[in-house]
Amino acid sequence: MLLETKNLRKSFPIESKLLRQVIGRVIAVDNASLSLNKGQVLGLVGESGSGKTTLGKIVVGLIEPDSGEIFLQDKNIKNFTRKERAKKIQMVFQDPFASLNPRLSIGTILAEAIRTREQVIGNRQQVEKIKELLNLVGMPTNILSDYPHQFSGGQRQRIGIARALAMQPEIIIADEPVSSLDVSIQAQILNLLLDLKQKFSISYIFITHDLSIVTFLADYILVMYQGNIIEEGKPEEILTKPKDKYTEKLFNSLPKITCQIL
Amino acid sequence: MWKIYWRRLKRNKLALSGLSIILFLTILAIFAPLLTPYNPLEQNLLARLSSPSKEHWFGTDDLGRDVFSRIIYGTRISLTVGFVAIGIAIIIGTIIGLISGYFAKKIDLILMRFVDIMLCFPAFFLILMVIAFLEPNIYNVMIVIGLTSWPGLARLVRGECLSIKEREFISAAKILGLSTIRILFVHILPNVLAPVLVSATLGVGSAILIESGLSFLGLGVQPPTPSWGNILTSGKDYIYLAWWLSVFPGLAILITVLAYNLLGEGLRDIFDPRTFEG
Ligand SMILES: Nc1ncnc2c1ncn2[C@@H]1O[C@H](COP(=O)(O)OP(=O)(O)O)[C@@H](O)[C@H]1O
Ligand SMILES: [Mg+2]
Repeated sequence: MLLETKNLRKSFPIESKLLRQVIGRVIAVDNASLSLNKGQVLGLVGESGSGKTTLGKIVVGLIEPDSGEIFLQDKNIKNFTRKERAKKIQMVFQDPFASLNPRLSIGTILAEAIRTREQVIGNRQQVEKIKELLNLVGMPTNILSDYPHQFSGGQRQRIGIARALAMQPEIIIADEPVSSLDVSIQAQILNLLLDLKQKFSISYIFITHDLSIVTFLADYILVMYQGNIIEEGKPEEILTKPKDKYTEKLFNSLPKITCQIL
Repeated sequence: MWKIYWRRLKRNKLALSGLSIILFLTILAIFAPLLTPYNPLEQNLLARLSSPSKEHWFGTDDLGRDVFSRIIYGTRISLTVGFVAIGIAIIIGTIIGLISGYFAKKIDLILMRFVDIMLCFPAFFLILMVIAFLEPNIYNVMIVIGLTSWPGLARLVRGECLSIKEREFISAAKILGLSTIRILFVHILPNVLAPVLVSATLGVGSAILIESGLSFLGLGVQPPTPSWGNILTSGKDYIYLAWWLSVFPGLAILITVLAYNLLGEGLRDIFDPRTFEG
């Protein structure tokens, strides 16, 4: 097993704006267990607010869970240092406009990732590496001194993917990587992710609120609702005979728009 | 990014006029020995308190020294104090602000209480209190102004840092396993530089004003070294006899402080993210 989570749970305090007091807790992720095999695409679907991003951030180490355990290659994640974890699991973010530092050039953004991966690397080798990465994600290689604001959403998402690839991860968590992009660009990015999966046998946790994207990509689907994983199975099973009313609704509410692009 | 700002600077009249005055003053300060007709320390007891004339453009003081030359040399003092003092304030304020904003919780609480306390006192009062115990000279003046001018900057940087650390590119940096130092200084710092620059520019103006005030009171730069503040002090005794002793150094202070305020306000417009093009 490449990755396994057991009973992950995370709640956030709800603060009253008026009194700055904690008036309750919202349970973002409740008892989430999942497992991911090598080369597998795990689709994580659910409506907005169902806890998908929180679960993804727990796995990647951005959020500390209240309870539960994560195992990476059958070892507890606590035995990995931050850097070791970074070399195994990376993330591609929902908003490509927010996920690149506006003050750093593309060259700097990618060099930083490369240098975390390989501590000693010559300048020329580094430039070669950066160009190789840009090639992989279908970007021109003469953009090293350009800044993020010079690129479109789709191009920025490609650069974000290149940054993740620089770490040569085994797992990429893709958090709604196409939901903020133009419909015409969405299929290109999805195909890029699939290409990379073939080339490097990367495993994905693919997060989306769109069941039709996930049936196209995923080998296995988890349906989340209010922090719980309420249903799971192969895409065909979930598509043809959903066990839960919620899944059925999720599927029926969206398909017409997105099926066309795929 | 900075290219956009440069283009905007060229279109901003406020900033441009402030910047030209400051450049002009800086040239005066650097080339003072070449530009002054007299040695600023040279006394000429035969020409005491002479009014402005062809020989002495801004007149002479009670010891017969050329006021024009003394004011030009005073530019050196004022600009040096302004830059060094605010340099110190920027370093302290930025580091405290970044730490406070990034780590939040207890460290933030302690640091910001301290900032609150320092901000309660009028800056000039605080400086007077400290400088009273020190030997009055230009180094102590720079250090004391620097050590008392950072709290505002720290609060500003903290506020910016609080919002920037929630942005997604910081999450991305954390996921790469980058060190906290690198996240603070490579990822957050460049994003707070613009407001810091605005505030620092305005700060240079007030530092110059404070130095003049201290020197005027005899707590700053000591005679015979000329500073705008201590020229004013000698003018005070002859205010009815020799108006030029008060008016010219007064104008020098006014113009300089105004220039830094113009540039600061201009930069504020230039860096305004609401008018950010792409
Ligand atoms: N940092 C946070 N502080 C407080 N509440 C949060 C935070 N992050 C997420 N939540 C809450 O947790 C729930 C799940 O959010 P999220 O994981 O973003 O869902 P999704 O990605 O499925 O839209 C929501 O109710 C959201 O308001
Ligand atoms: Mg989300």
